[in-house]
Amino acid sequence: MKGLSRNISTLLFISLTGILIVVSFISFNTIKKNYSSVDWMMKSNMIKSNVNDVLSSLKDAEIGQRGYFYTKDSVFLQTFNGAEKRINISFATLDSLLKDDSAQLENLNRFKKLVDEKYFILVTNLKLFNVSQLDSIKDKALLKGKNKMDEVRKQFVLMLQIEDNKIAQHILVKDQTATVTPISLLILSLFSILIISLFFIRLQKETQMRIHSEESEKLLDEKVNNRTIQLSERNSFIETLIDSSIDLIIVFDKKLCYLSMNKIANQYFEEYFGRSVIGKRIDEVNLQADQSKAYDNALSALGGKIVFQKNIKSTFDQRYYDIDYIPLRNENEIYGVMTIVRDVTERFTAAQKLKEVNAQLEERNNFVETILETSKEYIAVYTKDFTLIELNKATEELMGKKRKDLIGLKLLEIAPLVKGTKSEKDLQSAFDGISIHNEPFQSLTTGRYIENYIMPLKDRNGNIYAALAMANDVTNIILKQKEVEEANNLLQLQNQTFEIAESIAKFGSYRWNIKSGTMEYSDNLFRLLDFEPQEFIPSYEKSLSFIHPEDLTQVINNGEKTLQTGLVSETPYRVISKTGEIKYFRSSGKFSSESGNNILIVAVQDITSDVEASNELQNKNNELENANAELASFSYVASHDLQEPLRKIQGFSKRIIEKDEENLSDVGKEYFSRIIAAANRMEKLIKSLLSFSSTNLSEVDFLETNLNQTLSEALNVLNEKITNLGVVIESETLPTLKAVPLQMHQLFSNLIGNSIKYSKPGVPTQIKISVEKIYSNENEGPINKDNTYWKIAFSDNGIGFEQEFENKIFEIFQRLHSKSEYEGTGIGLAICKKIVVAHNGTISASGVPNVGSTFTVLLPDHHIS
Amino acid sequence: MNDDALRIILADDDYDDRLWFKDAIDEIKVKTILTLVNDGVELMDFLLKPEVHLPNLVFLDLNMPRKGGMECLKEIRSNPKLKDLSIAIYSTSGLERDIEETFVKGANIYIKKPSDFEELKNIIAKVININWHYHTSGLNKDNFLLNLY
Repeated sequence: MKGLSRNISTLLFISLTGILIVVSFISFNTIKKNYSSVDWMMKSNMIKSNVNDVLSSLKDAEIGQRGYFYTKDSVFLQTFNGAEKRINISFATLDSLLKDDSAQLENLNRFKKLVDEKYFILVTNLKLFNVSQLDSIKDKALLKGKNKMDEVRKQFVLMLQIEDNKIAQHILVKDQTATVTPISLLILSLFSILIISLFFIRLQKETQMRIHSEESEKLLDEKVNNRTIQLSERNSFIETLIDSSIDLIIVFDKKLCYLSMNKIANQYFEEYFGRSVIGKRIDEVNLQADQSKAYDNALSALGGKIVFQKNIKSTFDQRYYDIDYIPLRNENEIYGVMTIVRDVTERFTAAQKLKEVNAQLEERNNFVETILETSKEYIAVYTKDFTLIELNKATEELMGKKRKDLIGLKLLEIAPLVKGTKSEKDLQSAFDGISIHNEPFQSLTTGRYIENYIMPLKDRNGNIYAALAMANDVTNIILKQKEVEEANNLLQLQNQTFEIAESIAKFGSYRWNIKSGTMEYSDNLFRLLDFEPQEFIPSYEKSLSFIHPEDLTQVINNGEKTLQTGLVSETPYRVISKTGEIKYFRSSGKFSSESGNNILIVAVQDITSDVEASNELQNKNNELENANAELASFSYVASHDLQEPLRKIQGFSKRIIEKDEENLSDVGKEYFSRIIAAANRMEKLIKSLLSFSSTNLSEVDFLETNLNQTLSEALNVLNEKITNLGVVIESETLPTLKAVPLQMHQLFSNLIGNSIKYSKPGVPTQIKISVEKIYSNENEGPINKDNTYWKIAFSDNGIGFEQEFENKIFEIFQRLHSKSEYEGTGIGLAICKKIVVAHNGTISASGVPNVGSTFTVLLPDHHIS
Repeated sequence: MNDDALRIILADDDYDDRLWFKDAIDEIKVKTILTLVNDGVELMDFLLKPEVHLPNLVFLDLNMPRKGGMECLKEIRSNPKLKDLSIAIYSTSGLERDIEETFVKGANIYIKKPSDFEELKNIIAKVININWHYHTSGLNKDNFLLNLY
């Protein structure tokens, strides 16, 4: 402050001095200007007087001229002549005066010139007047002189005017300065006096102050000393106080860094932070989780506010603290912040607990109230004199009256019918301290099932002050129970039926709750696995353990597919039962949702017997295929290898007969012919065997075959025999049907040949061929339903046969007669049968010995391959 | 050797058949020179001898040990030197399948071995005749197919 005022003083002094100088300078200037104006005015006056002088001299000259002119007195000429002299003197003066004023100098020159001209006229006129007598010329000269004089005068006025103007100007300046100058001088003087006084006063003051301050400094020193002593005492007291405090007291500096703290705080930080926090900023290390909050609060304190934080949970020890932020000030400045951290855990937890208890109580109240209000049970509270004092909504609705209309009424007023009933007695006994529960009973009045409780209500002292009656309409429950019982019975029956069905049909089932993994087997599934029902607890893993190792991967893969697609694979798999038996199972099942659970229900069928049967069939098929292949190779063998030696026997036998017949005895010849016959027969046998086996080997096309044509071809072949033996053949018109023509030909020639062969000796053979169209639903239609058949019967009058041999005659190599009786290989009819069967038909034979035989062929109208 | 004679070779592993064939040829009144070999290997050895005088007719049994008739047929038809030989298959088999296959592979004649000697003689005579005719008339060999059985 002092420095500042000193500066101002200096500034003031300088400016004042400046002003004084300026004012002095202005004053000097003004005065100077004033003097110069006076000079100017004097000069102008001199000019004026000189100009006047010139004019008056000129006038003098004219007057002199006129005077001489009129008087001719030479006195006047003196005047006249003296004028020129004076004029020249004036002009010289004027020249010097006007040397700085060019405009006026010019005027002066013109003036000079005019004056000279006038003077010349004067001179001329004087001479003229002396010479001439003529008035007119004189007048003219006079007029000329007068005019010139006018011009001179005009110029004269002009010059005077200019000078007057100048004077007027200078007078104005002079007047001004004359006024300003004294005032400014006055002001200047006054101002100077003022400044001098000011400085004087100031000087005085400072001197006094210096003296005063020296004194007070002394005094202050003494005071400070005293105070310091006091303060140090006080400090140690406070320090002790602070250190013995159980609160954490921490001081932060202006930057809000930890500056110092009491012992307990120090220990606290040592314990939880691990080292000293001095120097760290408040938000670098803080016990509260929200460290920026701590910083903000401390900042507010630094701004002069006292801030309180309540129930702050420490991240260090998980206890609760109140934190006060207090600004620390010295005289007029805040130099830091002190925080007092107080452990309030007990208070906080107690408050918290109280809150919880309150909340619980409130919850409980709400809960009880809600139960009472929403409960379907009828609740009523009566006092000792059976006055209703409390009831719930259900009761309100039951009674059909508003609560306010019911409370205060007596039981018998509300329900007069109760009088004398057990209910009334029960209520009474509640006041004797007995609780009563009545199992559901059927109300005689309503027919509904009621269950009720009546119990005493006691106050804190254990006195019964009221009875609570609670009744429950359990009609629906009772009825439901009955329904469930019935359903259970039915279900049990169904289950038993199902059990029986399972065991008969050899299937079992299981339920698998995918989510919980629990699995249930039906009793029969246990039995299928050779276990006693429910012998073990089923599970997925346990189930897998029964699967045949070779099928395990497939079963697991299928199981995964099932979980993805929801479809149970029906691929059969093998299991190994408890007894080690391998069984084939097949599953089928589906997912079902039961109360949010995904349940897989699977029926498992034991298909072992099916699989075995099918395996057996497969084996049979294989065998059959093998047999067929063998047959094929047999026929090849027969056609080649068997024929080979036979051909040799035939060939060589014939060669011997041909070449060496004459060398053989009769017996030898006979034997050779028998060898040849046997070999020929053998050849026939082999050939017919080949033709039999090739009947089904050859793959041939079925064509539209006209059997009439077939018949005539067959007769052609047999023509020689027919003619020789006188065979008579009659035939009805035969059909055209789809068949293998060659085979039909063979069938016909075999059957006809057969009849011819087995004719009665000496009796010409008669053969009748009859045709009939029949339908499968008729008695004789044996094969396919909904099909039309042609029945072709070949009847002869031959030797016939015993009916018991019917089947035998169609078997290969079976003969009913000896070779010597009837020639034949025993293959013809076998081939017939084979052909007919290949055409999806049948062949049968009937015969009467010595009467004849009938062979009946059934062929389908449309062969379906 | 006489150039007028017809050169015939028979490859057959069966002694009886070779004997019989020789008898039949002998009884036919045609000048022939008959060579007999036991199997296909011997036949091919004979035909491929550098100094050989190729036969006019080859009789070839199908079923022979070491090298069968079908194999010989193939080799002969693929050999530029031998491919123009006239070949008669001479087999016990009368299977259509065998007959077709030999014709496909280039046989000219198929003869099923007969059980009758006279028949054999007739057949051989016929074959020789036809072959002779073929030789002298310049018939297209590709069309020269004969099935005798």
